[in-house]
Amino acid sequence: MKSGRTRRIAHSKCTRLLYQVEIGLVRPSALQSHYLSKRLLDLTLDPTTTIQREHVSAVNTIDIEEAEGRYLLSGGGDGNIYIYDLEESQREERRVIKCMAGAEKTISGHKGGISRVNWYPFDNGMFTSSSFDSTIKVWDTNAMEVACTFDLENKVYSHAISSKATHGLIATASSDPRIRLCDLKTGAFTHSLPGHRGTVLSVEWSPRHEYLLASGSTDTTVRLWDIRKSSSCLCSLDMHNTNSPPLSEANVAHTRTVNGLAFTPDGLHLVSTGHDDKMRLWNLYTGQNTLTNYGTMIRNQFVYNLTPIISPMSAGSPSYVFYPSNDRSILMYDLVDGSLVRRLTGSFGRITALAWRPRTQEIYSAGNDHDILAWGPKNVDRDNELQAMADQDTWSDSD
Amino acid sequence: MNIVFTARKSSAVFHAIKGNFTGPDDLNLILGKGTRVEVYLVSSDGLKMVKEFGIYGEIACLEPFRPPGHTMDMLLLTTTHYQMLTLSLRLSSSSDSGAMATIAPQFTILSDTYTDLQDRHARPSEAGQIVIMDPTSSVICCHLYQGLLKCIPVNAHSPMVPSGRAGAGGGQNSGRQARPSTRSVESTFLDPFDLPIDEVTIMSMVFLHGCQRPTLALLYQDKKEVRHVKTYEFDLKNKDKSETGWAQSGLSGARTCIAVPAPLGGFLVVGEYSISYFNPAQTTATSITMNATVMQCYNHIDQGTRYLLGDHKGMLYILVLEISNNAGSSSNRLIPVSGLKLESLGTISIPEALVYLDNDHAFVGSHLGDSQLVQLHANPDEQGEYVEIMETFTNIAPVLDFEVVDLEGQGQGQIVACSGAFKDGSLRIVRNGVGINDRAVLELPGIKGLWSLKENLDATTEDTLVMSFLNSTRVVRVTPDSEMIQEELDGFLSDTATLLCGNVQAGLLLQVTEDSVRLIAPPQHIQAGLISEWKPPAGELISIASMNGTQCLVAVGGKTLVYLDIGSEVVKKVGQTTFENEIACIDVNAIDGGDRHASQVCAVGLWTDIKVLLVRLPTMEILASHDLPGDILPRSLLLSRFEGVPYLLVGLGDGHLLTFVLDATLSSLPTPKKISLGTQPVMLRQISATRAEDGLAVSPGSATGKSGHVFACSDRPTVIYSSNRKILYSNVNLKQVATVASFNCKAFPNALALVGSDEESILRIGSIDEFQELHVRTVPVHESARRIAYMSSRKCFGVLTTQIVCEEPETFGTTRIVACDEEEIGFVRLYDDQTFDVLDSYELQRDEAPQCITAVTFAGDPTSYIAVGTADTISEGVPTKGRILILEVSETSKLKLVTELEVQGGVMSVKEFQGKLLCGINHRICLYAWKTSEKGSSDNNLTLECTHRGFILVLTLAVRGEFIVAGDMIMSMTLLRYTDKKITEIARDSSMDMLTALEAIDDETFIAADNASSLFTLVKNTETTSEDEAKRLQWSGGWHLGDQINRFKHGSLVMTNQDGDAPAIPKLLFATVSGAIGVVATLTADRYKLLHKIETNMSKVIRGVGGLDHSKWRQFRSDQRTLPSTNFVDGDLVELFLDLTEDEVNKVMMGSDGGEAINVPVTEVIKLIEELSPEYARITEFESQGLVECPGLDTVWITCKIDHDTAMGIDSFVEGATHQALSKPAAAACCVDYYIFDVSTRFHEEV
Repeated sequence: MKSGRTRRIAHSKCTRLLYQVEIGLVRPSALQSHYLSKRLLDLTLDPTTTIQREHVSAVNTIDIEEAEGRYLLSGGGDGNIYIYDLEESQREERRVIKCMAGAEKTISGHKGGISRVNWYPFDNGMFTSSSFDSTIKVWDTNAMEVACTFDLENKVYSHAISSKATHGLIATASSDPRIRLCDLKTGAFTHSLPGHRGTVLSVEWSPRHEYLLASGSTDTTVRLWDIRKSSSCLCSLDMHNTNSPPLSEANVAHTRTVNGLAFTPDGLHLVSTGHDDKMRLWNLYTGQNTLTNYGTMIRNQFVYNLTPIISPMSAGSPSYVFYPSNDRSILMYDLVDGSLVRRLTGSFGRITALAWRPRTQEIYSAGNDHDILAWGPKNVDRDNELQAMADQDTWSDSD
Repeated sequence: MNIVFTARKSSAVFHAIKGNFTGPDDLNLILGKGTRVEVYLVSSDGLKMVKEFGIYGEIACLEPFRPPGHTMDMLLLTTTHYQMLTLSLRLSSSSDSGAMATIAPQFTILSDTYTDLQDRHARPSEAGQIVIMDPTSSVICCHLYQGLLKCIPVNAHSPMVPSGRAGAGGGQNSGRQARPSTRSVESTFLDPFDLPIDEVTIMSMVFLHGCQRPTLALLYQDKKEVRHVKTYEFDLKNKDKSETGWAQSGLSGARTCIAVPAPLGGFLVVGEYSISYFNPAQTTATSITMNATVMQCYNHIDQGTRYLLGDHKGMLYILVLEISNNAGSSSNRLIPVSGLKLESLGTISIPEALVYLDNDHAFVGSHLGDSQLVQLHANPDEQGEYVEIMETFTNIAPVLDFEVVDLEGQGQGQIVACSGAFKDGSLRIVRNGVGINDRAVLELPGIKGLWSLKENLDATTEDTLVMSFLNSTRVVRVTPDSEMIQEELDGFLSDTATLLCGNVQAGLLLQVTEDSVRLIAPPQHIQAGLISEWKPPAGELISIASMNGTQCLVAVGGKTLVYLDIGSEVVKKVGQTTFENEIACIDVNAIDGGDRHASQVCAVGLWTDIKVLLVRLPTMEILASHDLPGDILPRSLLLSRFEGVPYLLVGLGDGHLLTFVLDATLSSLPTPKKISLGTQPVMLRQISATRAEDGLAVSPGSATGKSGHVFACSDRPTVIYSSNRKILYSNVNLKQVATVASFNCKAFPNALALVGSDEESILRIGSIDEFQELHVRTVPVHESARRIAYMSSRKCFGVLTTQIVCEEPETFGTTRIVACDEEEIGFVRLYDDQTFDVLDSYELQRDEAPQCITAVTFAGDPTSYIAVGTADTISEGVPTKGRILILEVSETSKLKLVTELEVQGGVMSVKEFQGKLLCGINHRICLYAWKTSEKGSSDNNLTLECTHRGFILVLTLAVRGEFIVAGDMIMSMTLLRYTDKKITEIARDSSMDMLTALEAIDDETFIAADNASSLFTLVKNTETTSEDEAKRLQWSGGWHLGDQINRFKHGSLVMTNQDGDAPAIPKLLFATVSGAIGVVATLTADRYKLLHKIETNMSKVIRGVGGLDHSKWRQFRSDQRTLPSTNFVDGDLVELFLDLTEDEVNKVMMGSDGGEAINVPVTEVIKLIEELSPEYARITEFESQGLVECPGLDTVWITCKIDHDTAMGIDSFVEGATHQALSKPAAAACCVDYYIFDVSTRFHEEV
């Protein structure tokens, strides 16, 4: 039997849903997530929010910490790293977010452009950055000082720390086909995962299984790894779903370079993107391509890592995947059926990275136009009021 | 720091199942009510509750489960936090102790397994948890998260006798935490495993009967909202599943699957307008169509051919599978179904669960209305209904809104709640009081007086009633077989009215009539008949009489008081005195400590100059006199002793009661306390009553002196008793009582004989149930009651209701018909606060739903209005328009629209605020001032004074002083302040939760309920210097309730016993979706520390059912975070302390199992808990310890024994008062301080 107080949220009006919550037919959390997910459909470039420009070249990467959803970290092609407090002047009519701390190119900092910044998932006091100067650095946030440096001797395109695991391993994607694992506890490399034949552009840890790692490479493959095993590569995903052996040479995930990977928050699926202008959704239980068709809008020629982001999952509302396309727009797809929901435009530069702020349903984007932009749900009421005021003005004019 | 108690347990039935739980042949009905389970035994005379227990979790699924080879069922239960338990019920063995054997058999709960099925990363399934069992009990399949099926294979060799062990104490049992991963031979379940499925939105799933392997039928919805059904076969060995290839598509509106048991097999798919039968093995399908409706629940009547179905409108249907005639052919193992027949049986409460019990009886478990036990008849009654309701189980869920009002002005709050929904919508009046359960009712008009007689003065049971009529007196004896026999007593005058009758010493009786006082020997006496008689002087009549065992006082000729001594042989006049005014009432109830049957004083109430006197016997000298202010006569007097303290109670003609505390010498009358008990004259009678808890009969003649209860007869009958030396008043659930007598006879133990009002002319014999129980009165509304506001000036309630008027299904696309999409019309209805009749209604526009209501009195306009906020019902997202209506209630109780204001956005909340109207409209808060125009014209208008923006959708508002607290749909709580005609934001909560209710506890602390069923408090951050931190409300405590709170209100359900007493402890009442009423009381830091320690130690002594952990259950949860329970105490757990055995109390006090020892005497702890608990006296009194007047200084010093909070309360209550702590006695370390108050004379007047 079904459990009692849970009903599907049908196409219903706000007032009726609120009533159904009050009489206990719909859980309030379900209503909230339904409403939040509806707000996502109103995402638009937030005209009232300005994030001060600090970088002097392209912003390559941004990340928002999970604990409070408050601090944004950005890394630029200029080798500088900045931190912003997103809650600053949150409820004022015009938000201006100023940089609160920064690490510019110094002796201890990066010498080259930053390829990826990541907050340490368990504590805002630490973050990591990788750079084309072939190093990964671990930072102390409060002092903005480097605590530890790993030298990979190859251009580092991306790195990832598991948000679930306690093993404290940083997986790295570099021009070396091997994936090297850096141990935060010892400050040394542990082992390498051989298998790729080209530059590795992206690595991501599974949010579900702490030892599961996915990687995408210029060799057109997406590989899944269990880092505990000696023959650590579990499989190479096959876009054609042929029944070939899991590690068959014939298995390819895209026809060209793979430069973006994202696990769904429940860890059951993986999204991959490649230079073949395709986005694929993989079922990780079966390792099969779900054959979800995301259409032909995607333009992806970015030579570095470019990660799609997926909205948090909640019961009863669809999940969306956001992809920064080459044409300066963010494409918002329904994750499961692949339909294009919205195309967010307004950026003047090519978007290089996205970060998700779930509490306010905002997306922040970094662009090669040196800017960081905020995208939020459009405030319909405010628009109405502005419209009303404008109407009044016309009236007074005509008088 | 707060403590949360449950004043009324949840009553909504979310789950109902049947099975053999208490014995192989017992038929049990098991109800799941949120966080509680109730076990009933079904017997020929109805349902009998045999066990009730709470779960440290909210029940998501409740299923009977019988492992292979077992003869009894177990209870399989999952919680909303994804814990799965199996529980068994067994009779506790009587071998434990000798004493146990004599007590009625108790069922204890054995917990068999406990499994945590939580998956932190997975996404909860949309349809909620589904837990099903394969018909052979070989596997349990759960759908908890999207895309995953969790399979739990059952150990085929699980032991016959469950291995769980019973723990100690009241059914709260300890259980071992046997995780299936231990995989011992004994465990019931083997390792669970996950099976991924591609179907995302699963509507329903069932296991099919008569299949070789466990086969699952799955009803799911695809992305295009088309519904399909398909079957999967499980391979338990390889932990795999495979599609059987059978599938059916395009089932629009399908909602539920029902497995048809073998030998038929197959399953039914119940949709919104059709029911189909499928059998994959035969590929047969049969369908019928029906009127669009949503079937909410079903139950098998017998093995597979008949089903009960209940829909969302509260109709009960029977579905019959017709078997074709050639079914018996041996070639086909499966019997084909030739057709389906659906028939409507009648109207029931909107069902949540249906259980067919036995013998045509069924249980209807309801969430939105009362649960019912119904009988199904073969033939319809006059209304064409096949259903007869046999029993109704009151359910006040879901409470959408409520008011705490003191309708009688008694100082006791009662809740008037908007309950239920749709056709089962109702108003419920919940009040505290004594329940009288009728045991016998006799229609006897014209009873003027009523007394009960015992065998002799010292007997504890009464068996005879003396009833006085206008011109006659009747004596009735009740035999132990509850037969009533009219008796003729020798010497007893039966042809005249009796003024007084009672037992006196030496086994004799005394009858007082208008013209004689007669000492009578009862029939069993040697010289039966009249023994002695005293007559007043000729021409004068006895008007009033009072007596005890040896004395009798009569008023003769109006002004003369005659004192008669009643010996064993003669009635003799001893004294006499004459007053200048007529005697209104006298009492000579013996309250002296010494001789139980004689009193040294009597109390007399006089007419004309209206005073109460104490008169010494036998000298007849006046000891003390007290003038009663005003011109209200004393109508009844009673000298009574409560817990050893002598009191004089005086009932006045206007329904007030005066209480004098007498000193030991009984020679002075101090200033009385005055409270109102009703509006009619108060008649006081001493009664004997049994407190159900202690089981000891306290009869009026028992050795403790006449300690017991006093029944105050009036239009609001009240029982007066004392607990912890506090006088408590409990209302009786009767409308009017004229007179009463104790009647503790063999046939009706602990009963009272009561005579109602003249019109009723009924003599009822009823037993008293527990004191301080909450009683519920139901006023059906027959439509959804949503909001309520009390308008005291017109003595009426404004209630917002919605009615479904149109039932045309709305179509979405071509495939889907939503049957429940009916049009609603909103009403503002006016209810009388006494009769609860609808006085007037105001209909709202179409496409408009009422959202909020408040009574409001604007500054500068003495009229009070009803303000109503509405929102449109057509906007897909947030409402885009709404109205604020100001309605006036005329003298004749008619609603008149004074003004209306159309606004952009839905008006979700309105509040009266500083003589203005505060409205939450979509994302903004607006304050409207009232602009009165010149006299005579009616263009009073609302003018916008100021607006504050910055929300997403304001759902709730609370105001306190100049502060406004706003709750948003997404952005939690914001604190605002109104100064200089501007609303400014002070601070806000940074979390992103939807709040279902909020309220300000005081100026600093705010409480709210979040969308994960937790409570939390936020405080203003006043200490920090950082501007950033000051702008955030600081989280100061959180606690998981496990139920959704819809409303908080200040108030208390317990009567305050002094006029003008401010409630001592800030208290909030809350009501929930599952019909529970709770109390949040604020604690001082010292008390919190002590109670928290007790709570921690208690949770170690009293283990949760099934091994669930108390601290884990009560930890604060929101969507974003989980924090340990902070600054909240679970009052229900702490309250159990009072029921613990001595051994357990010691364990708690010692802090066994790693707790901390408590260094406070047990008596202190008990006192503290009793003081706080709703079951006992809920009010800490501010008990005056001494009053010193300093003449000339205009200052009064009062020393009070109260806690700090009250001191602060009084400070704020009395302007200019300051308090000063005197000393802190060591004995009262836990809470009590002494304070000295320096208050102005103004306060003196108020005292």
